[in-house]
Amino acid sequence: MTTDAPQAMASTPLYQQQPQPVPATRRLLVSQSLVQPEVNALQAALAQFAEPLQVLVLGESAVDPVALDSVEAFAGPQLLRARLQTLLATAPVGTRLYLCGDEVFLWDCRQLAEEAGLLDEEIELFRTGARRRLYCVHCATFQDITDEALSECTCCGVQLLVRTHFSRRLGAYMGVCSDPNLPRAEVRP
Amino acid sequence: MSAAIEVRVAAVRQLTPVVREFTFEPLQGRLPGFSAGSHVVVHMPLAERTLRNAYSLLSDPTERGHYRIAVRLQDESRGGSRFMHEQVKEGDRLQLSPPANLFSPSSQARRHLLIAGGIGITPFLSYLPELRARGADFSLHYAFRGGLTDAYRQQLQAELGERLSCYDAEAGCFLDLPRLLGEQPLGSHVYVCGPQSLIEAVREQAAALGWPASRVHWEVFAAPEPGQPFVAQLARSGKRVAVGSDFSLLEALEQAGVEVPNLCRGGVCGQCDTRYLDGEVEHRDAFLGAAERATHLMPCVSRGRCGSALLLDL
Repeated sequence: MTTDAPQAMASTPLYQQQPQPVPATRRLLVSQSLVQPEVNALQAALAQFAEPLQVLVLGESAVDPVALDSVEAFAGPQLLRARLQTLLATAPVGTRLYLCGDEVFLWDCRQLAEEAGLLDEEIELFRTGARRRLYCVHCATFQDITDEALSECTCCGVQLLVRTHFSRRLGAYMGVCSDPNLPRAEVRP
Repeated sequence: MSAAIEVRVAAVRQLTPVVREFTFEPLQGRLPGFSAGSHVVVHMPLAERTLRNAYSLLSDPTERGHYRIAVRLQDESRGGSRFMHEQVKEGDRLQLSPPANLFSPSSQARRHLLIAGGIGITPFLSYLPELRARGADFSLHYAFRGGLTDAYRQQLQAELGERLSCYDAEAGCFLDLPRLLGEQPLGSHVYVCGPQSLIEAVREQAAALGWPASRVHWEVFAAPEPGQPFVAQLARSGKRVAVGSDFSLLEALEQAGVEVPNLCRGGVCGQCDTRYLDGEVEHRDAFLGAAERATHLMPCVSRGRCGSALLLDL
């Protein structure tokens, strides 16, 4: 159990390095930031497509105007989500969505896109940053973690083993009690 | 395979010079239920052999007392559509294979874009009651040649109003696929039934506009087209089966007493998928991928090449 290697399970998500060379009529990049090198590489790759690229970005990022037709920056995730929702509500089939950010950001946006009617095949995910989401299977609480293998649930206090089992619906890794005999990592009497 | 259903021809209507509609009732008992988009295979006893062609059921799936199909007279018919048009009369008995469905409406779609070419309207006639009952968002785009293949135009105009768009080639009116497929909201699925050329045009245009294949659904029943005669060798039984030019390989095998599981008999469903060991194959199906074609063929439509013996793993 504790030796789960990365990608050990079919549910562990895979992320892309390069955008797929597939046709689209509209391309939309939603990014957590525009200042990381990974994002700049992605932007450069997307700029190779003939179609105009629309960009939504979180925060007051320093925006590189090169090859960007349209960039909108948002002060907080709620504002960005609202804008993405509005855009997708009127978007036609043929729209391709590129999401770039940490896993929490990616799966929040992906869920919204799915609700709007986009399919898996129309969304590409690019991961940057270590933040990810953990779900406590004992009390159903979410918390953000990075790459730790063990984490204490912020709600019920159980010491959780972070499994590689990922729920696409919840956008989170499953956290299960690591030692049922000492669930809260108590000191052995 | 399930046993054939015995039916009586309850009604025959000539809808256009080339389209006839047939209503079937059970000889005894009840007809099996079916879902929107289903087809039946009609057994047509010609003088020299029995042909079996698939036809979409166009009646309302909730009406359980009868089946209805429509048959277009084909110019280059092997005799099936001609038999239905010239021989079959009210009161006649026929055998059908029970309904099967390879073209059901997607449960995930939020909008259904239906595109029919000519006689390809038939599966959509069984969709309409279902989509209405679901309260689904849909529109039907019906391309035809006025006075010839527009069998259900008036009925649909009365029933669907704004949801129907007609394209009469005789009046110089054609589908504008780039425009139509370019402006569908997210969550749309497209369904197309009609001539091969229309299906290919829709699939190509959709792909070019970035529609993933999972949003695109199509059905074509290619009745097996004639080809060059060839010989099939059966590796296991040692039989040798000569396939005449207007027989499909599947039909020739059946005549030689070799049963191959099959369903649509039109290159769509994949049931009759058969392994071959040697020989050149002319693949005509819409099911197998390029890699699978290296070892398998679908005998309902595909053929061996003239002059090279085809060795089947049967």
